[in-house]
Amino acid sequence: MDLKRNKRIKLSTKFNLLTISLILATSLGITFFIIWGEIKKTNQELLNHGKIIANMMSQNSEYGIYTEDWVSLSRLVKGLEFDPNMAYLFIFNKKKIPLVYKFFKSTMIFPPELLHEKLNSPNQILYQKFINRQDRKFYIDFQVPVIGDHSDRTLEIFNLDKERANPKVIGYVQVGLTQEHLQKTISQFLLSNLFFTSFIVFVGVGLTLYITKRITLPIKKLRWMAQEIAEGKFDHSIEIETHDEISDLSLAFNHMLDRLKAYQDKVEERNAELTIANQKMLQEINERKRMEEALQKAHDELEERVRKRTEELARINEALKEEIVERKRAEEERISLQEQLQQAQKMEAIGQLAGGVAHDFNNLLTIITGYSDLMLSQLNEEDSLYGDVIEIKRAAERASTLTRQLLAFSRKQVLQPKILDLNQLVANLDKMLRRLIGEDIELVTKMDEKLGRIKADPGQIEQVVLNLVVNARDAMPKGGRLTIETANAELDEYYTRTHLGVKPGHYVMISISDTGAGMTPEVKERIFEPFFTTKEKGRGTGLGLSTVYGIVKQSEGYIWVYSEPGQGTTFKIYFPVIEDMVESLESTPDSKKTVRGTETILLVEDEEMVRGLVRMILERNGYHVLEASGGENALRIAQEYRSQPIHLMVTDVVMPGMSGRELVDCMKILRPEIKILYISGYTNDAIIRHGVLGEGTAFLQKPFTANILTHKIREVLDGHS
Amino acid sequence: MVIFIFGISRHDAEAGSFRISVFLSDPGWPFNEVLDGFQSYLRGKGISAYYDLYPLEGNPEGVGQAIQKIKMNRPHLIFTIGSLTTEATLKEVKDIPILAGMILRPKLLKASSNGTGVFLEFPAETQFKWLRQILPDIRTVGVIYHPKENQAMIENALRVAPKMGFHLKANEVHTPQALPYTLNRLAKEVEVLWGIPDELVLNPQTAKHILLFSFRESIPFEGLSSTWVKAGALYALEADYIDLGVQCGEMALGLLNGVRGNSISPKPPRKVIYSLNLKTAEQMKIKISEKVIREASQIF
Repeated sequence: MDLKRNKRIKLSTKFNLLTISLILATSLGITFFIIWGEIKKTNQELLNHGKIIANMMSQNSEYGIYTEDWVSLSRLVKGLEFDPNMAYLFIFNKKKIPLVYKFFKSTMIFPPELLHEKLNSPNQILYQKFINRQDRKFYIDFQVPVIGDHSDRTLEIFNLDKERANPKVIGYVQVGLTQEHLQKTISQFLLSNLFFTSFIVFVGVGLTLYITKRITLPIKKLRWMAQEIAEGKFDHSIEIETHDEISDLSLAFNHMLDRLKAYQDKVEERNAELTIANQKMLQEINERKRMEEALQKAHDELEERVRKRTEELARINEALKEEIVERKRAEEERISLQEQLQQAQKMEAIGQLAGGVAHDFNNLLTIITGYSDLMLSQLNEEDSLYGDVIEIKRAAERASTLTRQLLAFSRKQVLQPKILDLNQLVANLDKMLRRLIGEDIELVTKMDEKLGRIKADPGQIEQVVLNLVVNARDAMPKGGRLTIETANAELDEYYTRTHLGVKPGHYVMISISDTGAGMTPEVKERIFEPFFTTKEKGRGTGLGLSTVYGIVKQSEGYIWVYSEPGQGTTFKIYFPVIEDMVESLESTPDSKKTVRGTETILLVEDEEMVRGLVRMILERNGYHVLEASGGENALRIAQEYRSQPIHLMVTDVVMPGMSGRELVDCMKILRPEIKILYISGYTNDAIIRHGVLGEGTAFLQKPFTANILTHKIREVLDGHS
Repeated sequence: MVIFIFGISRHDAEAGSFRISVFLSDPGWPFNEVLDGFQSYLRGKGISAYYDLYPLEGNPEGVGQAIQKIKMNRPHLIFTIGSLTTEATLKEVKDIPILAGMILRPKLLKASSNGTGVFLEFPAETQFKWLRQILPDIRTVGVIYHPKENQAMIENALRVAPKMGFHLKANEVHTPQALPYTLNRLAKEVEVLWGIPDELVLNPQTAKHILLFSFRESIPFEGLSSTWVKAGALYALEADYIDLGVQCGEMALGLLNGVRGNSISPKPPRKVIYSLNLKTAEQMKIKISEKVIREASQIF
């Protein structure tokens, strides 16, 4: 594009091009019209020539046709032999029979058919161009009628100058002309014309170039002068040689040159002044530039500071936001934990209360039960008092059950933990559970085959499962689905943070879900409280879930309940995983087994009624009983009966003065072989606190029946415990 | 085309003047000269006549229409000039006297009861007489004819010729094809070729050729009219057409006065003129006497 724009065409070149173009256009135009006219004229001449020959032949052949004199007709034809345009000639009589014909060319020509129907009046001539099929060349065919006069008006026909009165066709002449000669003529004319045109163009172009050079020479001088002026050289002037517009221009140029010279001087003077002013201005500009740069720098620094500060503030703001969120979450967690703590404290207080009551109850119930057994052993079934004593014993047993449940809730019962496989435990319970829930409820178990082991009291865990299953059954009176599922679980930091008292680590989870009525949040909050029940009066004690809670807590596990009204309920219990082998579950003692013995038993019990009762039971079963009210008393007895063996010492754990544990330690020094059976109405905590229970330690929870006691003593003496 | 020209004469036919219908084959020369001679003669004789002119202009189809007009006008006389109009009028009009001029031969009029006139053909004697005057050295005369047309005339000429010192070689032809041969044969036998009105022999087709023949063979040809002479014939006898009109006027007087047409026999022209072509004579190296040249009506 730039190249095109910058391409410069000289004025002379433009003029030359214009003039040459005009010469060429004019020459070509004139040549074209001349040639075109010549061709047209030559064509017309050929046509006229043909018409003349045809008419002439028509006129001259009248006599020949009339007399059918071929000699005269041949003479006519012969006269045309020197015409180079002649191709053929036919002379017909009025019956269209050719009288004479001649082909003037060596080529075979096939003329068009004679159109005699159209040739019926004087001065008529038909002509047409056609291509001869032999040589594929153009020919022109002319056809004319030969008119005769058959008038019998003798006088009139004598007048040769007059028009024929009664013209009639007596024959026809058909003449053919070739265009070959015409084309040759045209070609020659074309050649000569082109040569002439070329000559004219050549001369014209030469003249144009010469004239252009003459015209543009002064202009070139002017241009040179203009360039000199443009370069600031005003010392030249143009020589005026002609007397035309260019000379006027040259004069004006010289005048302009003088004026420019004067202007140049002024301009130089002015330039000097301007240069000084410019320098001052430049200095000022530089100064301003420096100031602007300094200002810009300060501005940039300030901007950078603001940016950094803004970023810092944004970070702080973000941190604050996060802190607020964190605090909010912490607050929520704190509230939640507080609620959990309150619940735990409440449960703990209830537990303490229940534990305390249960301890006292246990001793009392041990006495009631024991004496009831003794009374029954002395009465026959026919005695009127027998039934009453049975009722007393049953009431005591129910009270004992309640006490145990309270102890369990308050986590003060004595547990005998073992390594357990929960899958196996559930499998063992399967039959019983199915009987328990009935046919309307579907039991589904999903056991994790790689389930970890836990350490817990199997009987207590069975109790937990049974209680939860019974609760689920009661929630589905119209049937439903009960799902027991076991799985390994890992409780992470977050979980432990939001669940009070939970320690992070690996757990085994057992869940029991029902599709029952579910619970409201208010009910859910109180379900573990002792004696709280939603069941109708007489159907529940309100201690089932309390027992579950206590057992789980005492087994270092966690229990959570998920329930919505109408959506069923799920209890999830987590026990810590233990990496030990599973111990086989023991069977309950056989009541029919022999429990009697003759060994000597040292009985240490601070409660006199309990001590008396136990002594009575043991002595009735054949044992020799040494009785002590406390630790020091027991040690004294042991020393007094040094010569006699004491096989077993049955001691209370919590006693005023020396505890059961301290007694045992001292007794072991005196009688290392002696076997020990602890009995206690206290909770597990108290026993642990007193350091009683260890590996292989035998223990019996109060209250107990005579049967249980004798079985346990026999067991310890036989070395099974 | 029929053109009616009125008022040539101011005499009303009903007031004692005559109504004459003039039916011309051609309004041009020499027919107009015949009419001029005719009218001049009647005028000179004090005959008041009213003329209805019906000139044909080379259109034979106008003949019937013109004749109907003529018949409606009931003229005292119909003057036909030329063979075309005469023949048609004689055929259609039987109750009006018909006077014919410029007809070739009297044959047309002989069968008519109401027509008479002046014909153009000169008698053989007249022909030979003038041949002797113009070409006094000539002895052998050739003529070509179609017997169907000119048998009688040739027979008469053959009788007259020897009497006038000529040897007439009459060659009859029956078809145009025979013409070239006959001409070629005559070229070796005769000194002059006599042209007689014959449609087969002398017609527009043959005219030029015969004249060329005459030139090529240097045998002078006696033409049929001055136009032939102008075209190359040596000489031709011709009627004086004004006198021919006067001659017709003389016959008209009788017819207008109640003489029947068939009672006036047709006549040839009484006055003979001739025209000469001196260039032809010069070409053929024929010497024509001064007297003959002087008396010729036209010289070419």
